[in-house]
Amino acid sequence: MKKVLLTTVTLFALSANANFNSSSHNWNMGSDPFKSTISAAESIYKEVASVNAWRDTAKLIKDAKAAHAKGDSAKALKLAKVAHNQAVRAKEQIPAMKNAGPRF
Amino acid sequence: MSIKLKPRARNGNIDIKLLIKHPMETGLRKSKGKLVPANHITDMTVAVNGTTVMKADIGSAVSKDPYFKFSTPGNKGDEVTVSYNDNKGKSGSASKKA
Amino acid sequence: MKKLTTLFLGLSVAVGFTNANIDPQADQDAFINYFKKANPNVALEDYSVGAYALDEINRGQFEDILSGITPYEDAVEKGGEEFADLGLGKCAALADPAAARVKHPYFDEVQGKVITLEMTIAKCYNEVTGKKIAKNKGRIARLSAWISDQAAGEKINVKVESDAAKAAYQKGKATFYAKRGEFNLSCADCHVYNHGKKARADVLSPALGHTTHLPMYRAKWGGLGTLHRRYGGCMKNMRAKPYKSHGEEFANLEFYQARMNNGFEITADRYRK
Repeated sequence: MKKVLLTTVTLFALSANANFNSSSHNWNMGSDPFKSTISAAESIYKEVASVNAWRDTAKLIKDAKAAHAKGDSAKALKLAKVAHNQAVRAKEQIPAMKNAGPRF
Repeated sequence: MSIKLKPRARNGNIDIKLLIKHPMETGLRKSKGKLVPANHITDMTVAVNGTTVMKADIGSAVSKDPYFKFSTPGNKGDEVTVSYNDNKGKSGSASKKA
Repeated sequence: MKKLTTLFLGLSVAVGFTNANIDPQADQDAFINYFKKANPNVALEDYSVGAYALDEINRGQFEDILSGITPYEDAVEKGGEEFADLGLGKCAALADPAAARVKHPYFDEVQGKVITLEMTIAKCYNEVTGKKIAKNKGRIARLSAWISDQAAGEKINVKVESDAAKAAYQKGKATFYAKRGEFNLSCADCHVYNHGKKARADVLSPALGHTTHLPMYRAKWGGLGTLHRRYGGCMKNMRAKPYKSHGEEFANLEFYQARMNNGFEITADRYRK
């Protein structure tokens, strides 16, 4: 019983872990990498925008969509990935921003 | 374009401070996607009582509303005249007694 | 276990709500000490001239311009004419321009937020003309500069008293020290920890004294601009999307910065590179 429980818990933890690291693992690239990347970029950007929007993220998203509409899928995916990375890093900055203070 | 001129006589010299209001556009700057045409002073002349004491070549590298400060021999009551031309053919001048 | 958890939770709630540990004077003392230690040969009042206190080469030019013809004197004069022509003195908040400058920024208990001088000007302008005034430059900067000139020589004296004011002050302080944007830089990274050093060709100004000469004339702008204009430009340079002028973040940030300058004299010398 204990062994089964341990295995189940481990498997559960591993798969849960996989979801949280979707930015560094391409688990969900699946059939449309552009669509999943750009929607992730947009939703994370929306989350962080009022507190810590980076200067270029919105434009990158816009340009990625424009490239996709034109059929330049390589450029579209490249820009989408940059936008996504920016949004993720912006989100990572936020916890330390709340109580930032002097070092002296 | 207006000129602010402040000549001050002191110990046989006239200390001159002047500011020329001028956009000094280089012609290389873009505004709203379009090049802003060059619009800058090309030369400036300073005279004391009608005699030219300085001629200066001023170009696009000088910034907006340039401020100049220099000294020239002279006395109280001498009339200082500053005049300039710009690349668009416009000119301006101002006179004041030290 | 349950008792311990309840106690811990209770304590954290208490700490969060009482603001008892927010002490602007202690913050300012530490702030001034930091700069004093970094620059033992710079007199405290000198911080009012910003980077020029640490940049001998450009200081000569700066003083020359101030003693000669300042590029902003016409604009400030015009601000005075506009103030009179528009009748902005009719607004209670601006009836005494010098007092208005000294009062702002302040925490408005009724509105529950920090009010800056430009916000008051914008409100008065709207009441008098029915129109909205551009927030960062042009007329608002001229009006603010003229109003500020009337208080030249008076001391900055920002009050942070109520709990709500302290909370706003604390938020402004956090904004100042928070790393943000693509370059992961905070205001403090340049203007505290690296002040006096160069960023390309410019000497980074010390944050102490930042709010003595507002609004400022910057040669880069070729004109006058408000503090929020500078905040926005700087944030963009750090590759962060700027907060809104006259909005909560910038107002709180100004509140913190101004409080750090309590005791400094307001000056009409607005020139900066």
